[in-house]
Amino acid sequence: MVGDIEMTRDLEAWSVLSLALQPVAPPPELRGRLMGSIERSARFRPFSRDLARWFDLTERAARDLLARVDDPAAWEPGVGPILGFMHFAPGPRVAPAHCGLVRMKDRARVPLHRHVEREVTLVLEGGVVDGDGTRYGPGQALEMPPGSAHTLRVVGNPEALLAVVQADIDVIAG
Amino acid sequence: MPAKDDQELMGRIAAGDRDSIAGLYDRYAPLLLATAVRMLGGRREAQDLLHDVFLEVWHHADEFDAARGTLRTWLLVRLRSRALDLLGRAGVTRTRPLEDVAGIEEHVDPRELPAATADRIAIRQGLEKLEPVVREILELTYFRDLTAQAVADRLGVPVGTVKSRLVRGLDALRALLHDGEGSERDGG
Repeated sequence: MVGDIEMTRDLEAWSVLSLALQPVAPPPELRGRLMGSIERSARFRPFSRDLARWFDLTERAARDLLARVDDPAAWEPGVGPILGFMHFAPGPRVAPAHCGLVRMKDRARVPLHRHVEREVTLVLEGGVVDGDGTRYGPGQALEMPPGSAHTLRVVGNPEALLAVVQADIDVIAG
Repeated sequence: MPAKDDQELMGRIAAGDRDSIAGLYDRYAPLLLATAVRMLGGRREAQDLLHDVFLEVWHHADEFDAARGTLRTWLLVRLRSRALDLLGRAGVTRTRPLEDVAGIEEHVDPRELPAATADRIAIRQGLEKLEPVVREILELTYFRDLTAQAVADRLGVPVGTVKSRLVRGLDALRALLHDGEGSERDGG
């Protein structure tokens, strides 16, 4: 933080320089803007622990990741039913698998496919419906072991937000 | 506010209590915004920074530990760190020089200024008793993150002089902090 000054040992003393400043009252709209941001980000707060567990992240890393969902600059544009993708590095138990947050269109369908590797889909918003009719909603995860096959349908309003371990698949039927 | 209360407050924020983060904002935003304006110069940049710091607090309130320092300083450390990141990026420059000490207050609508507390007045009076060069060394170090060598180059004095005056200045800050311990009541 500081060049060759041992500031960290004297943080409380240094704060006196801030205390000496004339306080500046923020404009009222800034408070509203902050509370709006908090409200939006709060919708993901219940899932940070699940995200951390499934992707071997620290809870801090999971929270930081979820805090970026509303930042348009954090997203790469997607193709077709994929509206956007945000890569993130998982923890060592999941690496080197590629992981990301993915925004998908409502009613997007993934045809029958077989998983070459383990795949995890954690729903953060909206949902997915497995080929057997099981619906997975926010906070629920669908884990597909290597060799398993299924179809998938996305349910969103108007889109779904998923955290996924990207794994190779073989499409069986279109 | 006692440390135990601060810990409880941050615990409530960590649990998702919106009223608690709003209360924290109301209490500390004026102090943090003053520091942000002082560091960045521009009020718009400072307000954006304040927003981002409180959003960070919302996400990381559980990391506060009252045993390691005051909540006020914990918040200031986050703000300062982000401000220095912004200053370090090529595209962001101060819109007002740090040396323009009085400039900030001159450009603020007096109706926006919270009343000065006795603690703050005492701290300001204490700082004014310091040699101007000591004050300048402290401010360049804290608000601009300059190394002792950079401060020495800027002021045209030997680096040893900067270091010795920094020690003296820090002693004075500690004494002022001790004298004004009640200032935590209103967030500064």
